[in-house]
Amino acid sequence: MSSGTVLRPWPGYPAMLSEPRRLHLLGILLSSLQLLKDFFLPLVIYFITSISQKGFSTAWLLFTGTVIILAVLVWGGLGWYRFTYRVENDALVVEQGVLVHKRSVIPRERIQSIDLNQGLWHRIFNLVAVQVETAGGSSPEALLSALTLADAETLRHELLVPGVEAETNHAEPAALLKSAAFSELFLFGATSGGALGLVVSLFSGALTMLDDIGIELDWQQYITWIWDQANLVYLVLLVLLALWLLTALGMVLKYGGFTLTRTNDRLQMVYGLLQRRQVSIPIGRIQAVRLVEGVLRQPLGYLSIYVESAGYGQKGREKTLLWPLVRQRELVSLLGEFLPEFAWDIPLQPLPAKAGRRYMLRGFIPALLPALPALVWLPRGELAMALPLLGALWGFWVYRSAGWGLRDNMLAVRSRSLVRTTFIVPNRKVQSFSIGSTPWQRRAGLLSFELDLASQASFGLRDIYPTDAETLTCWFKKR
Amino acid sequence: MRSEPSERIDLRIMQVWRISGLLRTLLFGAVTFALMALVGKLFNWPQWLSWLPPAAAVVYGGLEVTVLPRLRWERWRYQVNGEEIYLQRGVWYIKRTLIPMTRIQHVDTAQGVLMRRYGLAAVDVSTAAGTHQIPALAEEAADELRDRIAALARVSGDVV
Repeated sequence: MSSGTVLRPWPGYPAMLSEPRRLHLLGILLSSLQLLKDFFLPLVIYFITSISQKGFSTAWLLFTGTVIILAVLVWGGLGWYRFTYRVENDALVVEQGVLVHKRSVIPRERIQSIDLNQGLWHRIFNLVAVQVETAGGSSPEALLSALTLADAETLRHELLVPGVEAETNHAEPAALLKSAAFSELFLFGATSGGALGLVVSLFSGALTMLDDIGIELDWQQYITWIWDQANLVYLVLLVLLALWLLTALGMVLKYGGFTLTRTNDRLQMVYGLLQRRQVSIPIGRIQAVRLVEGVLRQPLGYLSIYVESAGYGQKGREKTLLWPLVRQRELVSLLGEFLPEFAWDIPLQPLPAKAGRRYMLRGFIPALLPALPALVWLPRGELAMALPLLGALWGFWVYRSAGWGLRDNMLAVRSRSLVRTTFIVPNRKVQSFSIGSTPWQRRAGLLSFELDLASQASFGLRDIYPTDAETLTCWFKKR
Repeated sequence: MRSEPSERIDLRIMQVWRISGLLRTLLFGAVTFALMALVGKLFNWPQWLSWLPPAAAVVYGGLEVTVLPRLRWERWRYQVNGEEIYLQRGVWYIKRTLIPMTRIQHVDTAQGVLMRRYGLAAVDVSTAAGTHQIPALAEEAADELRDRIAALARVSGDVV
């Protein structure tokens, strides 16, 4: 990937940066392929109806096929020709459109992140797609579908590095780098929600399938029958195991070669074995760190680190993976190295003891509603009472997992729905702070609190003491 | 716990809430009744089932017209000072929100058809995390408050 082998689209390619530049010629192919994909269904319908009316003829098929491919290529070529970008007056200017001319100007200070992605085609030709995001945008503000790596890096430097730092940052001497080991990534995939969900859903699917074969839900008979069908069971288990492995490997493909880099003022994550992705976030834009401990990962002592950044990502709510899997006890040292702004070992305090009963009731009552009719009307309905009991247990689990802690200007809030999540946030990144209570909470002398972040995430806890709520309010108002 | 915010919203909003609540209830009752009647016909359910949603709508609509607007109005409080905006709302769950001036990105006033009839306007305060609304002030008061918040927010500078 040395800059000596940079492919210029054509010999007269402008060297001056403020002149309009074009994408790499592969852009034509990419947009043509996209066009074919967009019109895939209409084209299929057209072919089927034509063939059914006129009958099949090779000559006709070749002719129409050639015409379509030529048309698509010409259209893609026109689009490529009309697409130019340049950096002018501290803004990225993109002009595009064959029939309707569109010009977008993105001022440099509004740019949130510049991501470089590589699809399969890109990897073959050693190119990247550059995606420019701004705060609050719902979709990428500008997508440059094919640039040489050198051009992309040039563009990135022009857009991201503010004038003063340009000199010092160009060499990027103080970059920290850490790569994920294969074993870590495999464990990440193997314990992922996707793999777990797949196995569970397939397993329940297999159960209903056995049920459909005509076995009644008499458990004794059920188990002896399955015992007799040992081969079938082994087969099902084997298929499940294979699928689980596949999902895990899928995750390894997606996040393979995960590399985290910290330069002076930004974090960069590069990952993906087939499709290479590069995500880059300015440190100043990071709103909070989110530590996620999956149901399978927590007992193994592992957690994943995400960062919440303002307006970044497709739906705004999306969080960015900072590091796939780290041991709990190595967390602080990893954060200390790469994100010292958030590296706080904040001691958490649990919720008040009297909140435990309330959390259990919150799990118990919603589960009671469907269980009661079952108890009354279904045979063996008393089994349904297991549901509210499970609900209460879950409530207790949630209660035991919850906690919060303050240290200087940092707040840590830990909560659980199923996975245990811990937010670490500095007070100046909190957009608004609410406390609230229901009549029941007021009678018990408890309150809830909630924080809203610019990443559209909100989090908080139910049932803390009013004095603690006051402490949190003071923390929030402290500048 | 801190004291309540000092200012109340305009009393006339109760009338707006009553009318919009009534319209919403009517719509909900009609749609669910039609749906239940249709489904009931398909599956041969007893006729009285399709009267359940309208009955529920009447009960809820009654509350929306009688007590709820009053409760809601009594609870709704706001306070704006140089540092922050302080809001309180909620009938069952009483929620108090603090929005520092430094976080405010822009302020709008908004007015629906009903609100205009009663000479009311809402003030929408937007932060990077979302929008908070002070639902009802007299038009002039809303404009005045909007300009005041805008000025205060500008003084506090801007941070994301």
